[in-house]
Amino acid sequence: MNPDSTIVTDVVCPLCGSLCDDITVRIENGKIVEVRDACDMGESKILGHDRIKSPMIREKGELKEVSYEKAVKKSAEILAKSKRPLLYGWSSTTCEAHEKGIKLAAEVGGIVDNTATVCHGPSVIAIQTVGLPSCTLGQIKNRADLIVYWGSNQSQAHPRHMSRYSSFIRGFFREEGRKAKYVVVIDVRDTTTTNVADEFIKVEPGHDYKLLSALRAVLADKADVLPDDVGGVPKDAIMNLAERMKKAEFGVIFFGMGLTQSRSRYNNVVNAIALTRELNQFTKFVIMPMRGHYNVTGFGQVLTWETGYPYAVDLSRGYAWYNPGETTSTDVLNRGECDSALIIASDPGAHFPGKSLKHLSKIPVIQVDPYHNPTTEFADVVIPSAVAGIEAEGCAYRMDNVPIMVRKLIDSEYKSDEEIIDDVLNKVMEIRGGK
Amino acid sequence: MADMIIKNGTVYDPLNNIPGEKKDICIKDGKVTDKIKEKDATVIDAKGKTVMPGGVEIHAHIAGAKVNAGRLMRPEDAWMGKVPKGKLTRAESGSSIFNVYATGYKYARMGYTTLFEAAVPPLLARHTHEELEEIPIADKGAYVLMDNNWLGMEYIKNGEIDKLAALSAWFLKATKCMVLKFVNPGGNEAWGWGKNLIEVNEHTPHFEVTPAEILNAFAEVNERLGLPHSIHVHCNNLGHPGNVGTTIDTFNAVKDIKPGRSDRKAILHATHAQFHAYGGSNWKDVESESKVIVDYINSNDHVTIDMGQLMFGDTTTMTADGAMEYDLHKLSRRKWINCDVELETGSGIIPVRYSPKVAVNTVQWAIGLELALLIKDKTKIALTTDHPNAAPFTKYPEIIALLMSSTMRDGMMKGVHESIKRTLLPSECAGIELTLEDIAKITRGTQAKLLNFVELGKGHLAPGADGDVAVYDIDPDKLDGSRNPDQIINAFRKAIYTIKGGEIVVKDGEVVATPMGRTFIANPEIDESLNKAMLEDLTEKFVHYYSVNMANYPVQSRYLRNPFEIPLKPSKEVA
Amino acid sequence: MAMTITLKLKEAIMVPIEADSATPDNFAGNAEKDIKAIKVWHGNTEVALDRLFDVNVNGNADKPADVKIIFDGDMSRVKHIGEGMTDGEIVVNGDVDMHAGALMEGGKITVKGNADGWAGRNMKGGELIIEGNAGHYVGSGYRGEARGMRGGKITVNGDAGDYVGNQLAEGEICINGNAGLMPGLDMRGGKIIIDGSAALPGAGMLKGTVIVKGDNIEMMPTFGADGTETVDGVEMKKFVGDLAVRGRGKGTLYVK
Repeated sequence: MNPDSTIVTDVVCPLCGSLCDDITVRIENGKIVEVRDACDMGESKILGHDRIKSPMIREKGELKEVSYEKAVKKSAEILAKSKRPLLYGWSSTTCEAHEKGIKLAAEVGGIVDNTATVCHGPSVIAIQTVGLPSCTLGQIKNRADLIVYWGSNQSQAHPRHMSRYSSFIRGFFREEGRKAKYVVVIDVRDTTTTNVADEFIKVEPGHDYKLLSALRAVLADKADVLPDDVGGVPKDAIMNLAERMKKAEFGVIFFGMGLTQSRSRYNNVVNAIALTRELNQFTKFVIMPMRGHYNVTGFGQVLTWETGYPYAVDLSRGYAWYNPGETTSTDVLNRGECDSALIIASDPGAHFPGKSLKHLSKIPVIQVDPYHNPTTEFADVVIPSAVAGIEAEGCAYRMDNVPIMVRKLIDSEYKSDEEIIDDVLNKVMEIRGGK
Repeated sequence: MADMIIKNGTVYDPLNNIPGEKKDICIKDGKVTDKIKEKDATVIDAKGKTVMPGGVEIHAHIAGAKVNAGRLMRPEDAWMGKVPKGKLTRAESGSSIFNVYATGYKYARMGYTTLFEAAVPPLLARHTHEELEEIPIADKGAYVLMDNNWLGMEYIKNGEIDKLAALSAWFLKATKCMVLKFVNPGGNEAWGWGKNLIEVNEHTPHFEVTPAEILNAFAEVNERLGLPHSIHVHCNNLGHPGNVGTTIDTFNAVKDIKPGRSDRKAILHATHAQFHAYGGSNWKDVESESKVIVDYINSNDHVTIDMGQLMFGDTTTMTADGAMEYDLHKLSRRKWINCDVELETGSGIIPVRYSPKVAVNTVQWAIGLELALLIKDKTKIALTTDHPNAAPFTKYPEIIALLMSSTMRDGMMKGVHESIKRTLLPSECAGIELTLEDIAKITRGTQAKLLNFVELGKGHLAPGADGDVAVYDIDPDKLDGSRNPDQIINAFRKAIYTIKGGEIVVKDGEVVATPMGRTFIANPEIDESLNKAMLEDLTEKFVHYYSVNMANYPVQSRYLRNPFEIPLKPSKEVA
Repeated sequence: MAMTITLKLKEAIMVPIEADSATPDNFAGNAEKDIKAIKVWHGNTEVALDRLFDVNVNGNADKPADVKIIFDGDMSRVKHIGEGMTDGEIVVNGDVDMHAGALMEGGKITVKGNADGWAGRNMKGGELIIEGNAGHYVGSGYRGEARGMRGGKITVNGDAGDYVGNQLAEGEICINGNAGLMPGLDMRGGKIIIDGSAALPGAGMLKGTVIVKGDNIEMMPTFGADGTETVDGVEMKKFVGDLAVRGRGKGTLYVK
């Protein structure tokens, strides 16, 4: 081994909402050269890839390299004169950066929102409607004997989730690991997760709500009103599943975007939560959203303690107004409401609908990100940042709301998101103070 | 910072036997002092006003996972309480669960300068501190939940009290907390299987220990470690008709433990006692058994309490007692959050509306007041609402008025359920009115005494105390509190001045400065070999059962900008 | 006494205006110059009404009942029109943006064009007529609330979007065209009448009545059949539900 080589253990992976904290990395000459125990996606992120080299400002259609100070000043000028700026992204950076970002949004009277808007925002609305009987992941690891994945392809989106927290892991009351658990997958199609399930229930696209209602009716002894088939699932399969759920010692439903982004969206989640709630009359049952980005949950936490609401917060009138469907980024953009945007630690260029992108192409856009991505193609100001969780430390929240500090492993020539936002904020205050 | 003199006010400083004297208070370098040079000082004329030490909150849920989950679940609550940002202040939200800024501002407006968060799930302690760091103005501290700790229960089962002490010290340090807190001991573990414990001698599944054993063992540990406060306990069987027996059994479970330090007699602080003082057998015939608690407290020194006063209206209940929240959900069917925390504890949240037309709510409302009116030594009872459970803390001014004005109580009793007849409020409590001195005790002096923060400068105004002062618009010479409850309410709602560490933070009820306070932490010392033995056991728990690696578990020092380590007085066995 | 105020946008705008202050309640008893100076929000900036609108005031009135406000032209970028009004009349000669008639307690609003989302949200009384189509959440509540609209009447002459009458507690909503997904979602009282089609009507309902007269209905599987009844002269099938709600849903759903 190289004598300059350093081994760092217990590294926290800044990729997905599983926030695995058992990674080992080897660092040589200030570079990460080896990653152990991470999944392929995590390893690739930690090893790093092409970076934005320099701050840039678009002139006559071309991005030109400029000094950091100039890029910060330009960003501040854009935000300070906007009537309705949108500050979007945040899910792949630290809570410390979130706090600064929310302060900036309050200062410029803008809308602040994160990627929940296009993934688990509906879960949030559902929690606001019916609550959420849940727990931390260790509770599931130690106790669960029935695991239901609903509209969630674990093995693709959260590759180590099953081996660390759910299906495969041995726990205190589940010493036999996978053998001690019954795994059900409910989805519209066969996925890689169904391969490891004991039972696969295929539901027709857009019919999850009805299937959930049917299960609830069975629990309430109203099975007699059910038709022979609900959403493509035979009645006896529904009866069997309900019975299995009631008889579990500790059951859990993990749900993903198959529920949140299909027809009747948040109401599917409302119904899944209501089902879970009602199962507690018979046994212990919990439910958990499979959150995507590693700190999408953290942004929700910070925004909630700062403003009272977890995403899509409009601060334009001095107080916080929250109304998904109105103040959510894609809606604000589709309707063409905002007159500038700051995009940080996310890539709407790759994930937003065409209509949203069309509006983004019309208004001044500031991008803060370590990497080139489709958003860079229409950004007017680009500020490269250190990679949070690799080159900058800070807090992140796992999908079960457990906070873990992500580490700084190596030095970076770039400032952290937190520092960049703070610099922009100070510049904005300078501009506004000078008015 | 300029020196300060608060002149000509009527000072209530009960811990220094000052029951309302015309007296000047001088502050230099943030601390109370004997004398200063008046010509260089900020002079506050408090003639005809009431001067008290800054208020101390001994039990509230103001920061952390549960509080934030409550906010998240209730956008309608946030919206109701919105206040736009000001020149100096950030936007406020919440009518029962406030955002971090509103929490700091609202307490400061009422003259409170020291706050304690009452329930920190260890695994989620980082979250609590992230929020505490954003609450402006007040000094803060937090209590760590040890009620259903797996390794703790194993040590208790095996009689390994030494290791239990080492474990407790580790969790205090890892979570940067300063009090050992117990919620439904043993019961939350049972709730992990959808069950609960009701009596103190029931055994929790698998671990086979009882609530009484858990509390007795930790009470002993608490004294060995020399922690300032006694163990802080939310008894089993909260909120259920006929639960007073469980409460008294809990008190008796620690009666044999001797205080480890001479400056405190209490072994157990039973929080929100109102929720634990019920007779009857169901929601219809529930009655007040406050007398049982009152008599016990009046004749024993090892237990102290806080009120947990319930006020009518909309609020949010949140507690580590997950099983109890599920019971509440079954009653109201309103939205319900539950979060069990692996190897440690549980939690639950539901919104609630307390109505004077409901029998049980009426009884609950009466009980809190009865406790405060009937307990003789007011340094054994603190004013709380178990914020936001029985009411938001913003109701304190009304509660103070209710305690000072029997006329106000009589008026309110006319509009409540006839179950009021099953309480002592119309009978034994009739005509009893607390004085401003009593109020100064139950809102700050008592808290400082119970937490042993007197030497640390809280809850009093003798030289050396923190320059935390509240000036209220009440002229004690002219006050007829019984006839003017509104004056009391208005005065305590908006302090004329709140001074924190010698700085004016509130003037005429408005926030004028937002300094950041300190966070109190406890770092008990443990014998090295004992600690090593405990760590071997704990490491096993992390390797096999926690979902987080041990190296990533303790709250890193960067989370506290301004930590303040409190001195401990350990007894010999540990030191 | 009567006063008519006509408001016409000076120019097309991108950032929406929030005009909740432009109500009969706020205009009554004011002179022309005071009305023109009433502040509305334009994004993060508060500006006088006459900075954004040509304001024409005719007559005067002491009480809201005597005030009529005409929003002339396309108001599809003006939110919160008539929000919280207690009396008087508002006519919009064009489309309106979100929250028209939200929290309305009395009086009448007529929208000649289409309305965007949350029309009549948390309405307590009065009448809201939308002559064109309406967006999602007609007559719904705010996020997290158990009870939404508590009184008044909403009529949509065209189609309505999803979740008509979500959390409806009291009052009546008539959709003369089609409704989208789940009209009457989680409703606890009141009445919804849909002349056209609807998907999963009454999902989660506890009480109240939903009538769907069109042919194209996707039914919830958790309603119990309860014979037939004549509704408005037409024989309709009656269902009780939503039984998914712990078997306790007692809402009435009529379909053809």
